[in-house]
Amino acid sequence: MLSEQLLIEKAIKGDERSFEILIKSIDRKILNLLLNILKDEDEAMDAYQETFIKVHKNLSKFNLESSFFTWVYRIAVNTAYSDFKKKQKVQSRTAEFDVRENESLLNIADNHDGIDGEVYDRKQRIIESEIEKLSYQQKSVVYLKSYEGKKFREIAEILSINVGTAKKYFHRAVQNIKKKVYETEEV
Amino acid sequence: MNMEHSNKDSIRDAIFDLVYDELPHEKALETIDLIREDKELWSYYQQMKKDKELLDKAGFKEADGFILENARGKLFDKLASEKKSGKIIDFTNVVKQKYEKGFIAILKYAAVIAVTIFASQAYFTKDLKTTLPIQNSPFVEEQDQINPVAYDRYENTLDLDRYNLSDVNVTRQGEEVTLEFDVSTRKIVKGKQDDPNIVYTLDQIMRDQNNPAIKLRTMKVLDEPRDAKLQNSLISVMLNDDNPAVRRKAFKVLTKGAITEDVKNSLMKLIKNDKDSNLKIEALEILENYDKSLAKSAVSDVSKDSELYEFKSILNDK
Repeated sequence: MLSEQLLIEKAIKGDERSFEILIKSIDRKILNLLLNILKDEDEAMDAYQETFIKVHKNLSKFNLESSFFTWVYRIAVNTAYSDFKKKQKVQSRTAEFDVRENESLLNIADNHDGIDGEVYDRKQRIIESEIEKLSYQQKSVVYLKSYEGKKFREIAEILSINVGTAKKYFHRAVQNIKKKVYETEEV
Repeated sequence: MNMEHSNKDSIRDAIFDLVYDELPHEKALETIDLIREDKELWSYYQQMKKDKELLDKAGFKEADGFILENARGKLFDKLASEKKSGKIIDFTNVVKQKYEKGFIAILKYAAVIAVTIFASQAYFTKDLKTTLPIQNSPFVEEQDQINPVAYDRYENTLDLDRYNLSDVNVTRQGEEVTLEFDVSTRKIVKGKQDDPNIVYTLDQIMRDQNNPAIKLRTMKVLDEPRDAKLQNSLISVMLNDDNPAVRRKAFKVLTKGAITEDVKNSLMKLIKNDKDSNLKIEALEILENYDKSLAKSAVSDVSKDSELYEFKSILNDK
């Protein structure tokens, strides 16, 4: 088994096989990240492709002393962010889009029902819907912390922000979700 | 008072870190000891744990194997084509930098000569082909329809190595399948799925291609294969391909309609040997529709992957 550093060095020299092994060691996590941030399979697939093409083109600029994983994550998050911004522009122009968004949210819930056969309770729907409403930064932090279990130090590095800001985003996101859940429970 | 306040604030920060696994072990124990003594901080800690549990309900999506394989296929296709075009750009840049303006004119002449050679070569190749005892060339220019001819007669005339299969585009409109090879050659094979030219070309792709994306793209247009040779190629893909998405697609095509003895036997092999437990279960379910006794004998091979089939296997033993 070749070390990550050796694979990177070989890939930089043009060894396609090493590049492929390198990509396959992390791309599932990257695709999961994109699926959860963009909430659209096609967009996630496009962003996946764009991310790894950027990785391929810029591999020679990668600093071998830093974490390859974090570097690729950062590229993915930034790529998804441009897609997210484009999507937001379109959404703000058409009210119709909001309706579709809500529908797609319900579809996600329904699909989940079908796949796991679990009871997809109301609270869970509210939580997912609230996560959907979070800002891009908050959503990214919540995903990286809650799903990936990353340390805030790593999250800060991925998102190019400081640790305090990452914690603040996360804390605010949790407060928003919590508020909505408790409000609904009271009703 | 202020000191106490700010101390509590910093303990709250530590509680946050404690709940979200940010503290080293020693520091975590220290924080727990600190907050245990303080009712307010203890309830703050409990509340924060509850908040964390909320996020456990977030139901994040996970990419399934098929989506991932599809994404990988597209990516490596794209990288291969970018690499190809990148080389051309590098070459022209090097030449341009080295010889500047004067050489561009020479390049233009060279391009004209190259096009002339290419065109005359194509013309003579076409002439040569008409001298062969075959009336219809399998590679025809766009919009030309191929008439079905005897399968065997084409076997030795097609040379797919001449074309870049990584760019092949396979589409289907109604009954008609179109295989368009790389844009530079502008070669198209067009006809019904049973047309020997189409069968032969599809068969070649299924047998010779290593690129999973091309195989997936090709199988997308296939109905149940009526040609024995193509069917055998698909069986081989279903049983031996490295890529799980490709194996699954071959399985889907082969089991679209009524299944033959050969397919039945290959399903048995799949059930015995495939690494994809879901595919094994699907294969067994298909087999149950056609040959109950064969399916019964295969149940034990699936039972380790599925509770339902484990149960069926036990019932079989009884």
